Amino acid sequence: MTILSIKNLRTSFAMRAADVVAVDGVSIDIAAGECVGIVGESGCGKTTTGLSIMRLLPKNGQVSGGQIFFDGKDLATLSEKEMRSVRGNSIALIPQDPMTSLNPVMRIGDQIAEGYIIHRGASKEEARQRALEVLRMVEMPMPEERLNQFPHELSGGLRQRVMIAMALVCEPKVLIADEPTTALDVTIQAQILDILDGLREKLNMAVILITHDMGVIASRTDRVVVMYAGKVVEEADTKTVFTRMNHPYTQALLASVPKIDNITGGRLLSIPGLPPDLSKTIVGCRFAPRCTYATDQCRTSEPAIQDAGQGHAFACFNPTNGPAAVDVQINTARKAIDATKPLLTVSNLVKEFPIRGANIFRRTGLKVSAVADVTFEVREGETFGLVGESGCGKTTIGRLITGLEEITSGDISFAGTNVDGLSKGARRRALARNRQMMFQDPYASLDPRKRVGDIIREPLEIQKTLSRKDMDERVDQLLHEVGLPLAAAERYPHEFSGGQRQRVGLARSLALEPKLVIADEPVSALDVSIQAQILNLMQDLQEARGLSYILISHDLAVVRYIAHRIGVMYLGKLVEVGPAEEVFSAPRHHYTQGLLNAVPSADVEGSRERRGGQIQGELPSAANPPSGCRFRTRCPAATDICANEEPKMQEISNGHTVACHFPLEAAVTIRSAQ
Amino acid sequence: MMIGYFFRRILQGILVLIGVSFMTFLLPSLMGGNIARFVLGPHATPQALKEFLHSHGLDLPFYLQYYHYMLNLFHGNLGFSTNPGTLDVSVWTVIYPYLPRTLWLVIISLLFSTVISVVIGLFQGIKRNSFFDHSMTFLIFLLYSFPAFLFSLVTIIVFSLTLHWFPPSIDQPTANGFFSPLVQMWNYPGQFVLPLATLTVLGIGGLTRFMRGSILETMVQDYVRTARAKGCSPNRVLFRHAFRNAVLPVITILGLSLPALFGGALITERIFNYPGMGQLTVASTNVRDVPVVMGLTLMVTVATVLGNLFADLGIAIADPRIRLTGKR
Amino acid sequence: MTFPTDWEAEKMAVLDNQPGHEAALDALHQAANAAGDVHGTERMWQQMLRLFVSNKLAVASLVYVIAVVLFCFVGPFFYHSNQTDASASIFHVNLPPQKGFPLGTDYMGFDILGRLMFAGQSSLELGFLAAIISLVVGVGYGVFSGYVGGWIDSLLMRFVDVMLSIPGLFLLLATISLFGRSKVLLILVLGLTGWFGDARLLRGEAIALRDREFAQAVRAMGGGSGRIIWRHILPNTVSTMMTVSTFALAGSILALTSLGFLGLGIPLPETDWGTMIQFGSDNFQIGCWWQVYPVCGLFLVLIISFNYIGDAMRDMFEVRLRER
Ligand SMILES: Nc1ncnc2c1ncn2[C@@H]1O[C@H](COP(=O)(O)OP(=O)(O)OP(=O)(O)O)[C@@H](O)[C@H]1O
Ligand code: SF4
Ligand code: SF4
Ligand SMILES: [Mg+2]
Repeated sequence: MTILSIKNLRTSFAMRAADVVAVDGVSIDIAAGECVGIVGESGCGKTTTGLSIMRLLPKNGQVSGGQIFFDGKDLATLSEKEMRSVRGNSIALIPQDPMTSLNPVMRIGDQIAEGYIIHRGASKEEARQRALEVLRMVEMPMPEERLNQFPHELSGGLRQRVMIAMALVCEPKVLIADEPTTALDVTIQAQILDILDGLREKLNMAVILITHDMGVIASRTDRVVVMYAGKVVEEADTKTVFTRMNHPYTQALLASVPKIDNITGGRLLSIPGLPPDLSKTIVGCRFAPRCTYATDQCRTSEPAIQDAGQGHAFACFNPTNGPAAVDVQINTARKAIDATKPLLTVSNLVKEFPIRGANIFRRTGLKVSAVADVTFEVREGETFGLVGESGCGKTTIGRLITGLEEITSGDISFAGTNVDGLSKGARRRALARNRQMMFQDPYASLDPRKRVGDIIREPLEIQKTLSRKDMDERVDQLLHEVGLPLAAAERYPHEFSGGQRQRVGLARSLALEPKLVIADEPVSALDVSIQAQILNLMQDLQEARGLSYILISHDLAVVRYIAHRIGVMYLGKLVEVGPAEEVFSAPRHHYTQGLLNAVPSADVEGSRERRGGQIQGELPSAANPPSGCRFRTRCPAATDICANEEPKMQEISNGHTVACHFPLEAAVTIRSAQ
Repeated sequence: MMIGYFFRRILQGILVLIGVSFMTFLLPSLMGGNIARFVLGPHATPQALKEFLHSHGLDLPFYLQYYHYMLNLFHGNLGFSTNPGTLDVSVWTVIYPYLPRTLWLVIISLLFSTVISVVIGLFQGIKRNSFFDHSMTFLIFLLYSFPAFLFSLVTIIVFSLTLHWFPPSIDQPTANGFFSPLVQMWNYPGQFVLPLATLTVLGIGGLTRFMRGSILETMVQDYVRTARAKGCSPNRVLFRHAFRNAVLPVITILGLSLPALFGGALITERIFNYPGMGQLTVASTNVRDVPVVMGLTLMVTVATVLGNLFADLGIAIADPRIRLTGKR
Repeated sequence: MTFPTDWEAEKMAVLDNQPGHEAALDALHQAANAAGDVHGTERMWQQMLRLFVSNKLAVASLVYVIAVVLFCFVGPFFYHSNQTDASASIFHVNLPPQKGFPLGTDYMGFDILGRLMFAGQSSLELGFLAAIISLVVGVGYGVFSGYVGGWIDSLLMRFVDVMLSIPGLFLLLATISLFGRSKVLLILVLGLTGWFGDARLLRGEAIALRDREFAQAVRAMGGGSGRIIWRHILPNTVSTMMTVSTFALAGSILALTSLGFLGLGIPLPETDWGTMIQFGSDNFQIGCWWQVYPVCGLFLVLIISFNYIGDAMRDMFEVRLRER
């Protein structure tokens, strides 16, 4: 039974220069109890669609066409007052960022109860009881206490539970969840999505799940709507979208997602170019400039959406059939890498930050233990992946290695470099010649006042090892290597896209021809199709130059795709190190196992039954880490020993070490069961 | 937690005061021995100069001078006036009648301007880009740019000299020095209209702009959208969710605007002949009565620091983030 | 502190609701570049100029400021009047506007039109020099403090806290009561008491820029603090500095005029606008309106113009940051 029906929705934003048509002729039907996913790259109109349904567009936004039928009424024509009785009552919204979406000066209980008071006319006490009830529904730990707390007292995961509770308080018929877990860690994401799933069944709600994460789509939705540049390009049940898609964009999007069961070194498909400018009139198929199947017809006329039967529809003149073939050639070439010579050795590394408190002198004597006794090595020509949830100390390790942060204790040594006896400046320059950093944010990592050429030249100028002419040549060569036109040297960073800027960043880090590049979340700010370009480029350069990488990422699939060996971190500790294949297929630490289970795989077959054995609870504070094994508060196998004795790193098989008193058997893992 | 926060703020305030007292000590001592010549005149004998320095402890080493200065300060002794009219009267005796008069003026006008600014800024914020908003923005901009002395001059010319609505100045203290702002305002409210209006308008300029910006910023926050998504009515969104968050930073600004307000008060007092600290400061500066000017400066700063402390306390009470963790 | 201008808030509201808005903006730029749109390659200063010129009132304000400067410094070459010899002027005291004295004369018999120029010269000179001093000290102090950080920063900023809690006018009077008020002293006093707010502002910028990834990148490639400060932090604060210097100029001229009005301006035989206003207002009650209106009008519009230019620049820089 269709409960919400969007017909030909068109939403535009008035901007100074021109109107931007963010949603252009979108039609979606949603049945009760169904979970429909909306997926697409950033800027394609997912959120705008959601907000149009709620009629919560910003002031300059306007639904300029189409109908939204709900409960026999067209929401687009309701008066503002009538619309208010729909919002939060029969259609509710869960926004993306739980950190900013709660009123900081209002108690949790009051915020949840508010909707119940407004729509049900409940008394304060009834509303409070109801708030408690829904907090229990979202499995909030200690719900009674939460009622009187303020948002800042809760972690991101708990705040998202509050958001869900708030949305559920009036038992809405439709729930619009806009990237509900994007701001959260995978383990928390899994918990939140489970709660949403359970409640959807229990309350027979329809859920619109907006996300850019193919893994979430694959594992949680019944039906998928793929959007591109404000239009629906394909719509089908989830399985069909993943296995028998007809639209080239869907195909390309899926092919560019790194998957957790990929083989290291596999090449990702990337989509060239960028989505079109929505403030201009577009002739023909919107995907045409980036589509490999495009013909002249595509460039002149627009494909209408056509029915392929069984609820499958797509808009394309030259439909594909099924996923793109995977290029396996490079796999075998890359397999051959056999790195053994250590390049960087990190031993017993410790980093503590003092905590500034609220007392008179701000000194608390407490410390955040950001990195606690970490030992590992990186070998020549390999990629070492460092994974873990946010706040586990990955970034800090990267900064320690590049010398951006002072070491508390421990040692970092680099093969063939001795910096003893050098002056401070000379030592910094010497270090810079063999290890460089690639930064996460392509917008903050390039000085907006400098031309790209000068940005790439700067390390050469600091080191003063080349003549001016050689420098210019080197800059040209680097631009060429990272796939940018030579004319780019004269441009300013703001003239480039995120992906292009990340290329500039890579060129800059390679200018001194370092042996090691530390890449801290190099692609997490980019869309998947662009991500693939950068990851492929990183691999090519590694081969051409014999580079080593330390790849820091929270995204296990990205690491899986490019890393040879992997280190897993938890709360400042390295808990498992081993060859990528082994760690992913047969993890020995309970945390690694839980982490892998939490990652939704972008493939419909495997991902549904792979759940179970999830990590429960929240990340403890690094200022006061648990005694013994730091993971014990969330570990399913924890015993008394774990609380009293810290597990030592032990080698469990060739080159695979783990810090656990009761490591998992290689045989019990899911992967080997297949 | 809040206690810790508040103690830290008090401590900071005390540190600032120590710093200021050091400045009021340091500045005169920069003049060194010249002060004797300055006080005694160009024809004083070397012997007299020496005696003056000795009798005022000015021949002691620097740190001892500071020690004595601070010791005196703790006993409420700010030094002695060098003004021929009040020669060797203690500074405190000279200035204390003036303190409450200025404070009265400042507090009343601060209250007025806060209420007016919050209301105007709020309406501007909600009715953004309306005619009201634009004309207010322009008016506020003019007020904001209007120097205090010009504004008072204009009000006097218009309302006093031309329209004869209000007197251009305030009655002076009686022969025995009695002047109570409260009594005076009760008896002759008309005399206070122009000075208070000047000071109020001075405050309104900056505060309204701030309030408007603050409410605009708050209205695009995610939690405001959350409130709307719940089905809250516009009024509920505004008053239950946005208002409190928007006003919080205004409290800080109130505290920070105090120094400018005291500066404005100085000028206003001078123009309307109001017997307050500003008036005294100008008069003392004219005769270069350094101890009295320094004492006044110290007193005004104490008032500023106290005002900021109150603002901090207000925020701590209103903002649970500070109330509960001492941090924002 | 900066607040959203209308335009910015508008754009914020849009961006706010589009995840990955940076990428969307990027796409816009990309498309513009592809289409050969020159906007993308426009130099920074060209872009700013374009934004500034598009604000008609700001241009008018700038024209007014330039006109006042020309009036004061070039005017005397064309309009001669006695401004120093009191023994000669004493014969035509307090004359209303008439032939020979287009704006009348003041209480000492000096020609008002000429005196506007004469006083304007010292007001502008002093204001300008004081603003330069306060800008240099403020920027240097703030950037240094923010960049160095740690306890040095805390110490330096406590000092600024102390100075900021002393009401500026009181501080000025206190220093004047001590050191007197010759021209040089006034410049120094105005300059050295006006930079505390700027220092705090620039410190904030320096901290933000120091922690930006591009500054970190310089560190990672072996560059030292000097390079980071001179090549990266300072160039990125140029916009703030321009805005700050406009307000600083307005501030120091205003402070000087306030002093003059309190009878503490530049001593005779020179004079300044504030002193003119003071004597004029004393004579207003005996009907000498010409001693008040011209100088007040000239000065008021000047201050308003400065403020408007400052505001426009601030908005402009914010928009520019948004546009990229
Ligand atoms: N400069 C600092 N001062 C105080 N604490 C810090 C500082 N830098 C990092 N920390 C703390 O150290 C811990 C590890 O931080 P780090 O940023 O290295 O983690 P991460 O895993 O890279 O996080 P994310 O995935 O969010 O980037 C966290 O608890 C963090 O709050
Ligand atoms: S219509 Fe043409 S350009 Fe568009 S997706 Fe299909 S094949 Fe590609
Ligand atoms: S040491 Fe104990 S708590 Fe830690 S991971 Fe192993 S079993 Fe779990
Ligand atoms: Mg990190």
